[in-house]
Amino acid sequence: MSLVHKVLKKVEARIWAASYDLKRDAFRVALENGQIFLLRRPIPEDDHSEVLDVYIEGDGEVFTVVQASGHEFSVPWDVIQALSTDKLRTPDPEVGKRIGQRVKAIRKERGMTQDQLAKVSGLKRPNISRLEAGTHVPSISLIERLAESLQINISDLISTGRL
Amino acid sequence: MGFIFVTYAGDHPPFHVHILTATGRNIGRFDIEHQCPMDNFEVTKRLKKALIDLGYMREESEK
Repeated sequence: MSLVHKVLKKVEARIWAASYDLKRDAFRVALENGQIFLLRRPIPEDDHSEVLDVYIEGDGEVFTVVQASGHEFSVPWDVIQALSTDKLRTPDPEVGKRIGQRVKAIRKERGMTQDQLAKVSGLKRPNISRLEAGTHVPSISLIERLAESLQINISDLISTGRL
Repeated sequence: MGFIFVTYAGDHPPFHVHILTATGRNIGRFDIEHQCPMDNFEVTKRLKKALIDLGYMREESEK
């Protein structure tokens, strides 16, 4: 099998069916390519509250979970595959450091304090401080908020290249 | 432009964006960290412009 064929097959792994198995406290997911997965809770973004509904969105790109707390989250097909094989890699701490250093440098360049950035971005100041220290890798949604607040591109905070 | 770009809070590394056509057909994923496609698809001029406009791709990236 050629590499191109392998990659194409991976892209075609759309979600065909998704449901919640109360007895096992897990999500059952079937992909169009015939793979079936049992994803035991908690999964990323899960707030542990009761699952009210599970439905497939778009072209089978994701399944969305509605929880009793009002929280909703979507799980993309590639995350399903990664979760099921325990290959969901933990973020590289170096990435957190790099993003933290960039946020700090750009914030200072803009003449902003951590308090001001917190106000503009809607984040809490201690979280900004923690992020700048590089002690954790932020989620992409948080990075998007910071990029918007600092009026820069998201790629300027994330990409490995030099600014 | 005819594309839909989606990011998920709980998604796995590296940081990436899912790209779909306006009709919801999956095109593939673009790795924002390493500035390259994660799947086998061509970054057309139109797609490249959209990625740059939305800030996912840096202008100097030619991958």
